[in-house]
Amino acid sequence: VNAVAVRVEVRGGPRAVPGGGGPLTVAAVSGEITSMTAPALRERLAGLLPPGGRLRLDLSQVSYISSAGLRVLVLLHRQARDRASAVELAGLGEQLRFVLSATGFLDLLDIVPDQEAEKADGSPGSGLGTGALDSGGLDSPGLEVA
Amino acid sequence: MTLSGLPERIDAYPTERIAGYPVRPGRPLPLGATAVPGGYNFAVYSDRASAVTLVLFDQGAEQPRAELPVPDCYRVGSVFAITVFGLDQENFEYGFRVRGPDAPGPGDRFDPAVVLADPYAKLIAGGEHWGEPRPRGRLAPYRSRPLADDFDWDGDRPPGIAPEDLIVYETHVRGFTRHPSSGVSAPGTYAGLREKIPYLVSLGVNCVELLPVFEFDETDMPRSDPWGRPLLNYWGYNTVGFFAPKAGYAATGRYGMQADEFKAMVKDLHAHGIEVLLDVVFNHTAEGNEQGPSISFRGLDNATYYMLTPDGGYYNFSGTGNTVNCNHPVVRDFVVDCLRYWTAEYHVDGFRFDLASILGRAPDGGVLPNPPLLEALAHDPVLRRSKLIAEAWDAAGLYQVGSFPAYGRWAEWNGKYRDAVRRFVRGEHGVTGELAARLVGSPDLYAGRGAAASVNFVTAHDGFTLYDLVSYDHKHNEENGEDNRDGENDNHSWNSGAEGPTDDPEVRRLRLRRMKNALAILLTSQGIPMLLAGDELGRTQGGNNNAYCQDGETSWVDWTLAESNAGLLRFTRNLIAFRRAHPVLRGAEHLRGVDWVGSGYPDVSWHGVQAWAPNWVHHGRVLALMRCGKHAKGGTAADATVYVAMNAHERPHDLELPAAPPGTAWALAADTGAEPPFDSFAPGCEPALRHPGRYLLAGHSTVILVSRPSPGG
Repeated sequence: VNAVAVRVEVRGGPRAVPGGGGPLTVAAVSGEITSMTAPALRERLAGLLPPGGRLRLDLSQVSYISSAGLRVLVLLHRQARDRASAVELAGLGEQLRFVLSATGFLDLLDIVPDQEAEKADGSPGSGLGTGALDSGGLDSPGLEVA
Repeated sequence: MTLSGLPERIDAYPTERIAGYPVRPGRPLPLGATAVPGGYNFAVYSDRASAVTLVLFDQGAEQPRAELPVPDCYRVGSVFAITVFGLDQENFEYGFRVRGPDAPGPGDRFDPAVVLADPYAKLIAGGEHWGEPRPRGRLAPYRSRPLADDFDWDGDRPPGIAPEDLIVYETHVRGFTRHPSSGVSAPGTYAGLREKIPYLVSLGVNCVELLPVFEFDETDMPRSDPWGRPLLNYWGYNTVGFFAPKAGYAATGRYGMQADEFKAMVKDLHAHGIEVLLDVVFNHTAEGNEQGPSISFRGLDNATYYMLTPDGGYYNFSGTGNTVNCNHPVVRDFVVDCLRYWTAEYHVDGFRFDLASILGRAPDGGVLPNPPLLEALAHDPVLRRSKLIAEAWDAAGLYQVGSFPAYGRWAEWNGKYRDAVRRFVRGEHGVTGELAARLVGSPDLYAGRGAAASVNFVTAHDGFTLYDLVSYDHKHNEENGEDNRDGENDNHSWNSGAEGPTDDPEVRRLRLRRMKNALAILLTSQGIPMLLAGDELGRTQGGNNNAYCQDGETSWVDWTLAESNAGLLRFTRNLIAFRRAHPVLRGAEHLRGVDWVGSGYPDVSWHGVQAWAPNWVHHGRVLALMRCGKHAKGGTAADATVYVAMNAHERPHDLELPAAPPGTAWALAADTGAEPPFDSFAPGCEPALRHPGRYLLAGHSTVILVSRPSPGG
């Protein structure tokens, strides 16, 4: 279980997406995001940031995020802003949303309302592949988001 | 790190292995645990130690993961420094074992059986859940942890409010929102306080002063209340970690995110124009006297960190068992480092120093004329714009209100202001003369330092709340478990006719009026006003004037009072708005009693029942003053003229009013003797007086008048 997996789907042009705003890449993240898995995840996701487009992280299958994991989300958001692209989060559980709110991170991030996320995910995408990232051991207590 | 994962620094490689860990000689500065490429650098000071061992734990583990003796050749001066590679920031805790010299001195208290906390620890683990006893049987119950200190401050800017424009609100992070009535999603936390920002904004305060937020152990209190319930060290003046925000005040403490939550709170307060001051305790620590535990300083270098008697015992100027040796050069640097850190890393705007007079004592306890620490703080480059406020006394009889070494920087909690206003409001004779000085920034105490050297207050966490001040003659501290022996006996309070709760409508009406008098006086005085959180709601502690150990209804702000005492809250809001609207009340300089802008009126003039004729006789209990708007802010701000008359006599007085400046007429801003809503008016809504030359002031009442352009005038 000590792995984080990223499944990536790229969806079509702006019109295919409610609200518009450039081509949308959806990355569905699953597993555990900790200081051990975060560096590799960050590199993987940074490579997906579409210039002028949007990257949506679907976190609904993430079982655990530590504080280092949360930092990856904020860091990606910052990097995206530098590249005139945007990162948005979907599939936040109640607990994750609470922690993001209490630490002020929620104000920095773009959150997709659950209903909208479902709509956008409704159309079949072209699966571009699933990559598993290696990770080391994991014993730190953190945030059970599942 | 590069993309290929190789460190880019040529010194980012180990030179040897100790206890299975790749290590190299560390850097002696900065002290504490610092992330370096590929690992962490640990640096700890001890002058008298013969050896130091770095002890590593997995998070929350009972037993160490590894013990790394720091080779003697890794010592630089008196700093033991080692860089350890391959540590995962999220999954280790650490501490130090320290061995003393073979020939111990009288001040040495080394004990290698104990694993000590790093004095520079950025996080302390073990106290994530408020009120849960620490695992004291465990090796190192207070575990040091590194911190990921990156935070997105965005465009955060300190509000930079001039000291004389501050309106301080003193509160306790937990007590402010812990009560079930608070309505916040995370009661009793930094996040909860943040949720109450709209309330603070609507109240009108522009500065919060937080009771201690450095990590402390609320469960280190041995006493129980008379019913056998354990008491907690609720206020938190027993510091365990000076660089670590209290985890038990964070809703996210169990995820190790208390620093982020604290920063989010500061950032949001700043965004709403509210500054943050911290109550800091450098006069003593949680290690207590000879019987106390070894947590950090004591085992690292007792003789450096504490003031010791010649035979090695502890001086006790703090009344808590030990006294931090603040003017030792190493300790001085420690204090400066700590305050710089909270300023630079957490963006706090200033500090209130608990028992600050101890910061002016020499290692032998003598009082220094030019204390190096106080001077260093006043001139420190990072702290140059921080507010520095002294509680200018200590627990060993040193009382420096008015004489604290200020270096042009330091303000003081003005204990004499508190006492004078209390005595006046309860109707004592012989107070009006002193009260006059207190109302205008205590020039008798702070000549040359300006009005903002005086932090004016009537109540603070330490003592009666405002409601209790007008409801109790005597303290009622039985629930503290010391048979009512603890706490101040001389409170200058008066119960208004009945001790404690009463249904008597006359008594209740008088109490309300006297609370308003205190607020009206406080909010129209020159200097920095400080309110105690909840006083605007009529919060009671049931007569307990020393609630340091009361984590419950006694101490928590009961938000249902916002409805039951809505009139008092409205009055306070109006008075704060009045202060903010009138710069004439907020001058930085002391008033002179002469007209120096050619307005035809002195900057301040004194009056009594007769205009221009103050009555300074011993039994006089009526005092009025008028501040000329053309003198506001040293004559640089345009303002109205403000007249305040106070009557501490039980009888009404028919006041002759001084004439309002030409072209203006008096309007009524507040009259504590009137029933709501006629007791106060929002700025701009003040009604004109019907009889402009006279005002009938009820007994135990205060009236505030403001000049308004007269119709057609």
